[in-house]
Formats: sequence, structure tokens, C-alpha cells
Amino acid sequence: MTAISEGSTPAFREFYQLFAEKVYNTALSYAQHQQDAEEISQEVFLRIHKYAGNFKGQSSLNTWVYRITVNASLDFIKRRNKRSFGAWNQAAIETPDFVHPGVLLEKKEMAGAMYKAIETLPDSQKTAFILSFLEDLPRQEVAHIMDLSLKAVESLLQRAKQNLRKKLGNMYDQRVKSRQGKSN
Amino acid sequence: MEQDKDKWVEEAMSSLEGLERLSPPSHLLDEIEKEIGRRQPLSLRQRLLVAAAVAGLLLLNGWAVVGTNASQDPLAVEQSTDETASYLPNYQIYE
Repeated sequence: MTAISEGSTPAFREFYQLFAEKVYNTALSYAQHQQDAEEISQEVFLRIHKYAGNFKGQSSLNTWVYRITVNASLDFIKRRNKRSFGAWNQAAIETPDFVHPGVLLEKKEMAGAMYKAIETLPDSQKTAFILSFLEDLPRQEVAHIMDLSLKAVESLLQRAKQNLRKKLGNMYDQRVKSRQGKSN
Repeated sequence: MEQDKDKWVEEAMSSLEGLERLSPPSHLLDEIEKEIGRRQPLSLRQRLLVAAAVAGLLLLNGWAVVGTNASQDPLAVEQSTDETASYLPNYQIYE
């Protein structure tokens, strides 16, 4: 990190190779849009380059990078929502369902519904869920990243799952209704 | 009906398990490095060059303003009138 803060390009490139995939995939889980995930990743690495000298090793490098990624993703989504709210045309507000390129074909529809449900979670539940289940991080590390106790993270995950089941249940009901409407 | 719903919900809940990890696009690092270069603060040498250029422009500007004022000096106009007058007798040959 010292080398990066002193402007070493090889050190920065090595760091990028180590963390780019984690940053990009986390950003993609939040943004649910590949171009937006690129923009967030760019912002994350710019912040890392700028603040490399501030890293004192109080947390692990992994925790530090994830913390920056989570903050950059949440900031980006807030800005995007503001833009959509201010947009006059409805097309800008209604974005199509996200289909993750890594999802198996037979799971695409359900995964789309799942992403839609994740999007509606409050930020803290969303972060706990993404880091625990999509990034597959140990609960203790999620707690470090979110600066919370292990118990608090477990409680967030429980509420996130409850909310997701509720949202997915509503989506299922809507699907059934719309199918019945079409057949009548 | 309710059983179908529960099954669908549980299947959706596990639909993201074992999701394939994606690699960021190859051009991303280039873009980041370009942006870093653009955001880098100016070095001392570059700052001195900019300061010298600004000072030079200000001096030129000041010199131009002084020069314009001097040419609009009434005394200078009078003098030029006098110079014209000195040539006037020569035109009288056409009368």
C-alpha cells in the first residue's frame, strides 16, 4: 500500500489483479447493471489509489477494500435513484429485470425475481445479504466490513431473508394473477 | 396452491447459489489508470510554468494597456496635428 501511495504503477496493477474480481462482482450485485458495475469499480480503485496512504492495517486489506466497495456502490445507487426520480420520461425509471450473465439458463427467471427482491431491501440488510450469500464471506468478516457485531449481522440476515420471502411471495401471486388474466 | 408458492419461493431463494463469478472487462484497468493520470495534482515544475505563463500574460496585457493610453494622450494628438500642419504648405501648389 505504501508503494501505491507513492505512485508505483506496478504495485497498483498487482493490487488491481488481486481485487478486481471481488470489487466488480460485489458492485454488480448492488447495481444489477454491468456498465454501472464498471463505473463503481472504477470509482473504488480511484479511491483506493487516493487513500492508499491512509491504510494503517487496523483491518485486513480485504475488509478495507470491501468497505470501500460497499460505500461506493451505495453512493452510486443513491445518485442513480436521484437521477431516475428527476427524469421526466418513464423509460428511465422502469429498468428491465437484471439477468446475471453467470446464472444458469434454467434458473434465469427465478434469479431475476430474486435480484428484484434484493433491490428492495434496506441498505444494511442488502449489504449483509450480498456479502454473506453472494460474496460468500464469513459472517465475522461481514461484521468487520459493516462495523457491526456478529449478532447484529445475523439479525440483519434473518430480517433480510424474511423480507425476501415476503417479496418473492408477492411476486408469485402477481404472476399467478397475470396468468389467470391472460387465460380468461 | 400454497405448496407451489412455497416451493417457488424457496427455489428463487436458492437460485443465486453457486453463481458464476464474472471477470471485469479488460479495458477497465486502462480506464482507471487514465483517470488517475487525469486527476493527479500538478508537479511543482508544472505549477511554476503555469505561474510564469500567467505572469507573462499579465505583463503583456499591462504593456498593451499603457501603450493604448499613451496613444490617446491629447498632447500626442496635438503633436501629430502639428506634424500634419508642417506639410500643409506643400499642398498649396495645387491652388
